[in-house]
Amino acid sequence: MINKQTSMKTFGALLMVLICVGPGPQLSAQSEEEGYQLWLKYQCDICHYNQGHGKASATSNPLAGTLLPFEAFSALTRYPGNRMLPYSEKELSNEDLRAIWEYVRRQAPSPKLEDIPILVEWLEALE
Amino acid sequence: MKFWKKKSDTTSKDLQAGVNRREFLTAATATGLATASLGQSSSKAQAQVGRGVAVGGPGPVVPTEGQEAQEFDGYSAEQVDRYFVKNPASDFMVDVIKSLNIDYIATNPGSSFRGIQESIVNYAGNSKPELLTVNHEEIACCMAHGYFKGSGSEKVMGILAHGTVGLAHTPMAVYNAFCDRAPMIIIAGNHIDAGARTPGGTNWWHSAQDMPKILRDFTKWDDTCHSLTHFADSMARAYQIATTPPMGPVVIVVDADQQEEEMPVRRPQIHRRPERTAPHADANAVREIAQWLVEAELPVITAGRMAHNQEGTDLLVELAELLQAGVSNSMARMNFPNTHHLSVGSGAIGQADVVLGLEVGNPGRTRQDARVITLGTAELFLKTNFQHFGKYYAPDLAVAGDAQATLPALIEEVRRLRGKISRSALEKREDHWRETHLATRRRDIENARHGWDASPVSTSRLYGELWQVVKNKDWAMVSNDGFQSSWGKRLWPMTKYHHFHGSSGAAGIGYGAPAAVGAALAHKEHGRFVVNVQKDGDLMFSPGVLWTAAHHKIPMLNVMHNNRAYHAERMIVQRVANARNRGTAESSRIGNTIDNPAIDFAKVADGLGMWSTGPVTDPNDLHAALVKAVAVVESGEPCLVDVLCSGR
Repeated sequence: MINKQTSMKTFGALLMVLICVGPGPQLSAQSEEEGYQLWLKYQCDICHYNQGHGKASATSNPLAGTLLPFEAFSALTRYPGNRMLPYSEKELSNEDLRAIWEYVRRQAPSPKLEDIPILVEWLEALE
Repeated sequence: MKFWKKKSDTTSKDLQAGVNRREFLTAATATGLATASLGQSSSKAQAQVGRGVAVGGPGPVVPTEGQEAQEFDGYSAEQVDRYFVKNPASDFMVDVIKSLNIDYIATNPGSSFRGIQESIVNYAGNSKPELLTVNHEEIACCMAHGYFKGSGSEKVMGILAHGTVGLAHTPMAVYNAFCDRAPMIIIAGNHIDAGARTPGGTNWWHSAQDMPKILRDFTKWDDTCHSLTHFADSMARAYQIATTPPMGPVVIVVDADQQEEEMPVRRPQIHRRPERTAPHADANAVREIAQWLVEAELPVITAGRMAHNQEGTDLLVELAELLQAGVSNSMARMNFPNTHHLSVGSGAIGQADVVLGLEVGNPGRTRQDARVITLGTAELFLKTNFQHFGKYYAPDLAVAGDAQATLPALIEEVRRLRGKISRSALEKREDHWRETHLATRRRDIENARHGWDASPVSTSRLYGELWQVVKNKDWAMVSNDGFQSSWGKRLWPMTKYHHFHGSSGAAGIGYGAPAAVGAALAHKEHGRFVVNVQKDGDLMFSPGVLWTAAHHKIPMLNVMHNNRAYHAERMIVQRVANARNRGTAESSRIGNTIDNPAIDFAKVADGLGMWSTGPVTDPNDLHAALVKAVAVVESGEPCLVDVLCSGR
């Protein structure tokens, strides 16, 4: 499934996004709740948590509050490379994928490290 | 079967039986006392056994003629001999158990060992060994496993298992212990003499021709005892075999009838418990290892089930600092402090020109030109059917010997040769590994912020909040955090051997909760604050262990990592569905989630007699719940906080 050709497709798609896509498409009319239900339906929560904060692997970034335009988000879902196995259009329609994107990009991102005293304490202990 | 006394008049036949018996008992007692006295001379452990006197038990009683006549009225001579035993063999068996310094025996009751059970309670006063009541034999074995590790490899727990039906509940737990090199002594009952079994009785179902066969693939040794001498010999041998590296479980089978027979006139000898020594590596090989390490440009040490106790951890620190060698700790044991500047990840192995693997089957991914040394006891396993040994790895130098036992000699040799390493080389290594160590630590802390305010509670937040309530205590984390993104190991400063106990051994689910309770029991005598981050799927294998913890008042803080699923399997099945381009929606839930209905673990714990609260769903509520729970633990009780968490 995942081969060099797929990785090249991913790279190509991302490149196109960076070159061609501007501020992103109009927001979908689907509600956040509908997006959340689709998020759960397609098992996104397994790795990305309920609100998209999960950092599923060392190479992935959390999706909550993502600034990725839909085209990039879609490309990463269809051709994720080694990050995960792909969701095809047959399994996950573009319409549903867009609703998922709408949902996750509206979620508040995780707080910054310096705003979390417990983590700051650990960090300072290293110095 | 009746054991009560009748008060009616005696018959001549019974009186005759009683007289004969009294004479026999008198002789047996005198001989036994003499034997016990002789046996006390050379062992402290031995001095604590023998006729129950030292342990506060009543010891043998020689009845008067009148008393015996009353007791035996209404029974045939055969019945009297069978049931009215004044000096039962099982008392001797308990003395043997005591001589092995076994403080606890975990058991679910069974008639095939009722003689020993009664002796522990009424002869030994239920003290050293004390019976631990469990609701499943798998719990017993997991507790023994955790107890051994919690005790710093000092204490072995016994298990009493009912013939066939009890023993057949143990194998998964025993397999875990075998793979994790944790000793335990399983004593199984049997009705060996088919002629003595009750026609149509249940003891037929509880008997076997070869009882230990159930476990033989993953135990170090077993034996079936046919006499008390045999029992004394084999228990001592079993203890020695189990606790000599590579350590592992052993099984001793005892006959149900023999436990209830009269002690023989000549009391068998109870052996001294020898001091254990571990097999050391050959001295020439040690010199060779030291030579390779000293000549190395960038040596790295990788450690598996290496440290048996704090001394092992300290020795590895000493060796690593002498060489300024990076240490990659698998965390199968707390081999090395994760705060040390030489503590590095497994990626370091790929940088090294010389790799020393301590008790690891496979040192990991090395450079093509690296010289690899293995030092350990894996090759000393005599047999195995199961494939726990993993893929064969061909080291350049394979040295057999217990790594911890060999470290003092290796350190001495490295110290002797260390002058060959230039100061600048040592400083360069130190800087290199410190930089690597700090980069990893900083990255881990940075990554912990993701989902910090999310609901369900992120696992990093869970460990962060837990740390706030335990950081000023002498704590022990008795759970493995592999299914929680290893946040415990990545975030908590682990510096002492008792801070972490590693994993199950065979990655068998169901180990976590009972092993944690066993470990907590071992820590109780040291007054340590025990934390168990408990996976929901694991707890559902044997939730009854919460009752055991409550019943025996074993203080520990259980915090649920409740993700309502066998979550790792959800991830795996989802990948398969995606790869097959079908059923990517929903299919990973089927067979993997523990939901609909969701389990209310606070209610489960409450129903089993344990203080509990939850489920906590808002991370901002977690601290207050934990503070309350800490107070419960500090009052000497176990408790449980249910927390609805992210998947991993």
